Amino acid sequence: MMTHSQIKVFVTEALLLAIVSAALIIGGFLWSNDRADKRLQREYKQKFGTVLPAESYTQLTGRVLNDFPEINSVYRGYDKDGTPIGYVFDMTVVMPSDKSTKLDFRIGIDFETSRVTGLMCEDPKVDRRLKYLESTLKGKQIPVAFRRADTTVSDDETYAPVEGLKDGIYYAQRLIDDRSKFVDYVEMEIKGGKITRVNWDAFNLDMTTEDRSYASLSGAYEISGLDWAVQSYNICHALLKLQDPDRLAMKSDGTTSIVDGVTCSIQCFVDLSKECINNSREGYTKDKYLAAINRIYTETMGSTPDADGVRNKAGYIAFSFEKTPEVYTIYDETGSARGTRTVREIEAIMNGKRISNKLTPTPTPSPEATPDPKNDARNADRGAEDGYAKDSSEDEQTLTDSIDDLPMSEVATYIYPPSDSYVETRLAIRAFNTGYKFLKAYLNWRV
Amino acid sequence: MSRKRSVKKEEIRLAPFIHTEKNAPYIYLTLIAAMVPCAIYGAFYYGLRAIILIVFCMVTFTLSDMLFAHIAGRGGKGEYFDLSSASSGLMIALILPPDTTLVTALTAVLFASIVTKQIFGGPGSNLVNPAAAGVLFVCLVLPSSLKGYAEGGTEGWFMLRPLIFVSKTGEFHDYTNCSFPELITGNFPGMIGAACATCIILGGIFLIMRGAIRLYAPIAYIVTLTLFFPMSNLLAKGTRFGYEGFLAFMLSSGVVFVAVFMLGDLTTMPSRFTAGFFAGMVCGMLTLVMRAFVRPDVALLAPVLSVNFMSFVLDFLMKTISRRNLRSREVDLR
Repeated sequence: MMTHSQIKVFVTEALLLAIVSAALIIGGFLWSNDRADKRLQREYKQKFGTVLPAESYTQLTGRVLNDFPEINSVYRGYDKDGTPIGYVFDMTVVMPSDKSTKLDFRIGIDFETSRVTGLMCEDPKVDRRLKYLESTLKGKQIPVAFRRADTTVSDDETYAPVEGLKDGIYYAQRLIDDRSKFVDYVEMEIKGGKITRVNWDAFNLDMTTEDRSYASLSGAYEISGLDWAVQSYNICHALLKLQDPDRLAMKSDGTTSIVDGVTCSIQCFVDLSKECINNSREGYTKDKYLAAINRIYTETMGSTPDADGVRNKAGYIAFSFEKTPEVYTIYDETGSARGTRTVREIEAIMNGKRISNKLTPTPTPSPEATPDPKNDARNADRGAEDGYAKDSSEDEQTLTDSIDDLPMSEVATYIYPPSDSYVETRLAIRAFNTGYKFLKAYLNWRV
Repeated sequence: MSRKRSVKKEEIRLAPFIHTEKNAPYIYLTLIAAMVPCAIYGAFYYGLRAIILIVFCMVTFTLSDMLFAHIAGRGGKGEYFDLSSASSGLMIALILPPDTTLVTALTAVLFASIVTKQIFGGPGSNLVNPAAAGVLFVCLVLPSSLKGYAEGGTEGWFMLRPLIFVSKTGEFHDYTNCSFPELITGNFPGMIGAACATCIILGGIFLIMRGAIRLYAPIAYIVTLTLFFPMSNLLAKGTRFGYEGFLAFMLSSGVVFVAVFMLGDLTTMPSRFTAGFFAGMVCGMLTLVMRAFVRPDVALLAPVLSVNFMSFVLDFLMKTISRRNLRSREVDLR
């Protein structure tokens, strides 16, 4: 055991050690701090210079960061005079529909105008693939969203067009909805006897719900594989190239293996495209088609669509003729349904013309209408960002008009979804939108 | 009759063991005092969260040891006041990154206390350094939770968020850009108490003065690291044979802390000169080889555990060899 005097010596020495070390630590800090600051700024410049060239950077802290788990750190950049010029975000962005898909990004946002100053992915391969996106978005305001799948093609495509096409804009839609209450439609533009623009989308019977392409991009409508909007874009692009729906090589299950990134059923698209082509041959334009639907509705329901309030903002009649199958169904002698009629055929019958009972492709039920659990939007695992009201009843569940938890009304820049590098581009867009949300919360922006 | 009684009493007395002032409480108290400069460094650079982590690790380690000893029926004898738990807890805290959550620290403490110390018989019976084992365990099991190497400084003194939420820093820094003043004073993002070489050396001097350290292994360790560093550079990708980055490695990686507080340990390191020197060399070589392939904290701590495991065998071998030499000399004398 130690004696009292030994304990005294020990305590004195220990205290002396603590005092000397404290003095050395504080002295050392004052001696080296200037160098440490310079070194830190050098490191920051090296790290963030490509996305936001600034003279100095300071890291932002605060509780608001807790609400943004994808943001690793945020820095504010200053010029030589010490004036703030922008923000740099260091992020790890996760795909909402697939938590295992994530990428590390650094993005730069301008201080005054919230415009994109740079984008960098820590994975060099992905970074190279996203260079096009950086050049597209540089100088554009955030937040960002994909433009809907409305595609055009250049004249140098080599596939021969379908014969007999008349120039104009043509349209075809299904007369009944799928189980998510979406009504598919295809719009096609013909110029010089060739298909030059195709758009496949679907509006919802609930007029507060956005079109399917928007819903899929915001995560509210989910299917297996890529977002529905991207698959729609890809198949439209393929048709522009091939010029004939039959060349899409649709299999018996409604899918195709010749178009990259398309895993959903294209049955509905092929049927409606063929209808558009037939309409084009007959000179049955979009205006005539919509007028015909208007007439069918009026004669079937006994009142006008406007009076019933079923016309949506785009001018389409958001109505399902599911309960009046006699309007469009072809019956055989025994009274069994054999197929369906197109709008043009129904109008012709209404005009007293005789129409043969030649079968047209049955628009219902399509695989979307009888989805498997994976493809059923209602069964999809939706996060809070899609605005899915978990506590509400099935009928009250609504799909919101948003992307990355931001209302579409706030979106400042739209870009076309790429045919390749879609996931990377989507994650980059999510990074910008998350940065926007952070700045909105941090700076108390009023939008 | 009375004589008979006294003889009987003498018979049941325990043997008179060697009495020294350098008993277990003294050694652990000295060790704690030697680590105080490192703890002050941590508190100054990382503020409240470092202080909380240090106190938390010391208290939980002590409580865990007491509880396990009670369960195992070893507690309550009251022979001496055991400070080994507090010193191990302090050592764990000092080799953690500043942005470590309390849950992570608790995981390290519990593993160190129960698995590496209590299961082997409690204080003084552990085969390996509990602090090194605890932190290495977390490095391997929860690798992302030990990457919170934040910049030190006055700005983050009162920041407590990292104690609850896993740090987002997520990277090991490159210290080759640090200047000598930064490296020697520990003004760079490093472990709570293992970054300031000045404080560690001060603590080492205190241990030497108090005779609570064996210097064979630490010296061999530092010498090996110095001599063979260029070869380690050759192994590491993108660097050439030479002493490029040597100073940064020596002063920032925690090897000085390991040398002073882990390799000089009286319990887990060999007691003989040759064995200690050999263990230090092996530890240094392993560190240099591993630093090229694994993350820095693993490369720092895994070699310590390796030589801890070897200690017993090394001591036994050296003892056997020296006895044989003695016998052969006796034969010659005859």
